[in-house]
Amino acid sequence: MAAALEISGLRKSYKGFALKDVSFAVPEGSIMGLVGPNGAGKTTIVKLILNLVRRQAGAIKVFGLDNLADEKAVKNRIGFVHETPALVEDVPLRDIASVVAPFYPCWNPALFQAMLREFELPAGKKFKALSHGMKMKFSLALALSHDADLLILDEPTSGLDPVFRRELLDRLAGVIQDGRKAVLFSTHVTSDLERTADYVTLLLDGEVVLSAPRDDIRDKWAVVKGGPELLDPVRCPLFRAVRESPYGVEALTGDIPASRAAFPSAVFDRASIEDIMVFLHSGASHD
Amino acid sequence: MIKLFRKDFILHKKFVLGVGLVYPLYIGYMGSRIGRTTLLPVLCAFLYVIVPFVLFGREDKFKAETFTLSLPVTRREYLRARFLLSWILMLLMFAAGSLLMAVVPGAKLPAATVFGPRMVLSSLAFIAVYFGLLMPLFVRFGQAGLLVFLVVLQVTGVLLMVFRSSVGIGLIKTLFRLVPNAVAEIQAAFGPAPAVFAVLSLLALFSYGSFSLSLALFRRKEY
Repeated sequence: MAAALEISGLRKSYKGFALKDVSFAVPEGSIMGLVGPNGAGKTTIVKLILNLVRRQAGAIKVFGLDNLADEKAVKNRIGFVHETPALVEDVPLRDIASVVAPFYPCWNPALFQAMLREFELPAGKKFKALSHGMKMKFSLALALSHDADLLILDEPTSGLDPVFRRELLDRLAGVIQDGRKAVLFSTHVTSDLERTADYVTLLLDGEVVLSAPRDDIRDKWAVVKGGPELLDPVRCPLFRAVRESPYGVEALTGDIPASRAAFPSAVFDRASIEDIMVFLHSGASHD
Repeated sequence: MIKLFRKDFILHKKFVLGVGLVYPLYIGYMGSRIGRTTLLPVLCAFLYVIVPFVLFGREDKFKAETFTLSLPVTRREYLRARFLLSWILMLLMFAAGSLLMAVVPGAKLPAATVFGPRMVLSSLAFIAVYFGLLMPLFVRFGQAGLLVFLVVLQVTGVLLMVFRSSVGIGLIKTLFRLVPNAVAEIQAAFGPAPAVFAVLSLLALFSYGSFSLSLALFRRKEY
């Protein structure tokens, strides 16, 4: 399957933070969730794709085009939502839309109007009068109104009520139905990913620690619960992280069959993305 | 380019209309009180140049550049549109301000002087120099760039005063008169048209240098 977005060897450093050789690909017709705790580098990756910050190494290709060499063509195919929507505040939404529309040849005014109605956004209302959630909805309406082939959404569900959040995730699933489009959305709300994402990329401290289809994660990763035998130095290299508590030992494995064979008496629970994130972020690693 | 112009006019239309109506009145009245032909372009050019930066400052204030630069537009296009828009605004202000200066009752300089080629050319020169110096500072420091510019002007003024008291005013005058003298010599040798052409070419070159420096700084800017 061709890649809608392909990132390889991406590096960017700031004082006290660095993205280290980030590589992953979002296949066409799929939704990828970029997940990680605050400060993991999710927003930096989104900004690098949109050329809002300068990469120090690596390559970003959108439908085979380099995001810097073919910047306009690439951005034409991208619909974006930033984490904190910032626009000139004292103008009505209809004016903002009329400014954005000419930049996109495929702008669909009827679709935009329909979305404003659906999201209950009055076109005459000024941007500054909107709550954070409404600003997010407006940004989504802009991003979805020009038939973008790749949607890049940075924390799109933050500030949204649960009902609209569910609707948004369903809508994203609808966007990729033609098998040609793709969605990359960053979040630290892992339940959003469980519901929608086809692929998950987990970032920790600027590094990709896991990038895989969600079904693979479901099939291969588990939380193993047991006693001190899980700390056996010979067998515990099977675990990606181990946590001790007064009630026993919990470990994270990415190889359920091998772990089952090694610890037949242990309890195996399917690992959620949140489990994986929490274990890898805070658990003592045995790699 | 047109899309970016349109964007600025729509998003800042109240500001553009408000400033367009009120500011020339202020400049016209203030300019009509000045009777020195050397002082008028120096002061008024700065007031014209401020206008686009106040407009760009609004976008800076709302942090809206991140959104604009996420649209299908390159940084070169964005900056080029800003340069052109700035020149359009500054020239409109210049035209309106000068017109009002000439018609305000009791104006100290006659209309013939205000619209004389020497005054127009020196005003354009000061606009180009101020703008050319300010734009890279604005790109690099945002609105604080205006303060940096004013501080640099102040420090330069102090240094010149120190220099003047230690070395004398002769050298400073010679330095300041370098370009006007060169223009006067061209005019004497080849006539007024080549002199005007030489000045405009110099200003264009200076503006191009400012654009190139601004673009280099803008490409390094991160959001």
